[in-house]
Amino acid sequence: MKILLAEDDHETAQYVERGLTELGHVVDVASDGRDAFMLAVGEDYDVIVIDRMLPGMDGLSMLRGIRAAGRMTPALFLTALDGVSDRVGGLEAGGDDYLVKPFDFAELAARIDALARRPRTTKAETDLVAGPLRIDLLTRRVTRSGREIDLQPQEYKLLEYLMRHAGRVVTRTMLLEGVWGFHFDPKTSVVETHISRLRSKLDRDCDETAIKTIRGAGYLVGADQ
Amino acid sequence: MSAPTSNLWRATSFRIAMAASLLFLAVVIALFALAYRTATQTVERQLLAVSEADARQIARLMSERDYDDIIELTSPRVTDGSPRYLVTDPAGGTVLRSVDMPIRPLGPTFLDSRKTVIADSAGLDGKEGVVGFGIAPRGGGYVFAGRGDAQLRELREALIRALLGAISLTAVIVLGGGWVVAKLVIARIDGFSAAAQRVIDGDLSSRMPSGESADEFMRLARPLNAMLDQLEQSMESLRQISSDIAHDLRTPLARLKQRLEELERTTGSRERTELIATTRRDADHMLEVFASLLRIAQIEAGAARSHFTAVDVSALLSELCQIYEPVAADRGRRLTWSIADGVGVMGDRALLQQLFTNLIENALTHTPQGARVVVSLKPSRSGFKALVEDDGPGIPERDRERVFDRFYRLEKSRTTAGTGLGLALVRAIARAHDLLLEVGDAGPGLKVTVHNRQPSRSSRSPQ
Repeated sequence: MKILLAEDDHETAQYVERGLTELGHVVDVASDGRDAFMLAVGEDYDVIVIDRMLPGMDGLSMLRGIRAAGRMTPALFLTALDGVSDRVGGLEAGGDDYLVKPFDFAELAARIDALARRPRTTKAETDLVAGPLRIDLLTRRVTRSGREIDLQPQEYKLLEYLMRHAGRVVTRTMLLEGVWGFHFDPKTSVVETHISRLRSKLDRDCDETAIKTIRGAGYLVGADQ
Repeated sequence: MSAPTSNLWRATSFRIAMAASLLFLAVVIALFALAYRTATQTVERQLLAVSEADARQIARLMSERDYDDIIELTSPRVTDGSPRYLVTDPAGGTVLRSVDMPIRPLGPTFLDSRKTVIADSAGLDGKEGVVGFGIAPRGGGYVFAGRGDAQLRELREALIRALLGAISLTAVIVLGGGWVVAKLVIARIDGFSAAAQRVIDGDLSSRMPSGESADEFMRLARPLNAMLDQLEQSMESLRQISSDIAHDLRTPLARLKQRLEELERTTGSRERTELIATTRRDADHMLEVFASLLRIAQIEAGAARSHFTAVDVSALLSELCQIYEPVAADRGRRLTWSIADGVGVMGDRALLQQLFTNLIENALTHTPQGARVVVSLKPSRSGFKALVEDDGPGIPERDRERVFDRFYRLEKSRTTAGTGLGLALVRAIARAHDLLLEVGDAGPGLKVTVHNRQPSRSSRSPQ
């Protein structure tokens, strides 16, 4: 995957670049807002990672410019502030996701992955399939290998999110934000509890678990199946 | 700080007083000019009328050659005032001559003292001017009858004296009044600048002089003092935060350092991995503390207010309860709820969600196994009333006020995990939404109430 990283802090940039390169991505680093803008408009990237505070041209203006130039490359904001206004501002400027510094590298990698493979067109889906799991979005019927599974609303929401990201690692924070709209870290094991409930229903009479735990990263549904 | 007198001239209040007084003076002078003219003209007209009557009678008598009667008529006994006559017969002989002049004017005449010669010595001073009437009778000769203008002059002098008196009185009032007014205003302004100077010098508790009156200075003092209250509170909380951070982060930082030192000495790779994991957890904890502090500070700064929208509190709380019911069950607590429909508030959804999440998690964390947590929401007169109750040990009454302070933790919960900032964040969010928090006794247990303020929002007490 080809990724543009617009980050002026040398150490952060190096840390992210090294990590992404290890994962097999090609990373271009720009430490200045104007350079990053020229690169983003001139080349084809799969994902752009933008620091909110950039010299030359701030991240928000830069992304607005990129969007105005007709480039719809998925963009993820890195921000030092976790304020509501920052979140809203970033999304209004055309950002697709945001991550608060300091972040775990695994978190960033998972989100970049999710962004890059996000379907660009929103064609009306009626079914979600991941391995033996299937959701009929119209009737909200969930089956595993044809066996119907009865889920509570919260469990259904969680499974739907996981299935929409099938084949990709989903982190704990992605679930908190995506499923329950929590933009903060709860002190109790909300994610673990719900995953475990969902698992116990999905995995009844099965040898293999439908939701894999990826140590130190998150959860995965329907990989290599 | 007192203003030197030279500054008085620069004082706006003094200049305003001066300008008003000068205008007043101009009006006084104009009125006097009018009165002066009217009065002197009236007196002149009277003198002329008398003189003309005299002159006509003398002229008639002269045409009858009745000189005796002329003498009789003009004798001081008969006439009043100080009459002046110049009468010559047709042959040019002088009949009467108590005044003389270089010309022989006809009709109404005003002559000042330089043009008249007072001929007789009947107690007349030579400085007098004459107002009179001249006639040339048909049979020849000349008749002039007039009156000395002493009366007129006296009137004029009296009027001018009165005017000068009025002007000097006005000037005294102007300067004195302006001075007094300016002094008073400067004194009060000095009170303000002295208070401001004290604040600049670091005494944030200093306030602008204020009183009960509703004058313009008080109108200025009240918002300024409200501003200073806010400033003092911000500074105080800033100071508090700095010292809190210093206290609360020293321990984990010291621990972190110890772990790193330990790591340097450790050789076994499994022990190293374990140590690295714990060290990382310590670092995460510190970062979390910082993030929470920043978040609280940001919320307290009111950044969220600009994009408040209508939030369905009923839906929000129902969902939270559904999310937390299994979490509570896993921890051996029971979460139940009773939530009224259709309750809404203007606010930030994510923040309100965090407010209630923190309250619920707090109840789940600080209660023993088997505890019951009840969440309820009902509409009230001022909006809504949300309750999070538990039947745990509760909080001693003397500590209830402080549970919302940063880093405040009950002694026995010191050992449990957490940043000690959860409830501080709750308070910051509540304040940003103008919501009131109350901590009470659920008998036994803890009861936290979140409700709208009474409609009178004018006085936002700092809680």
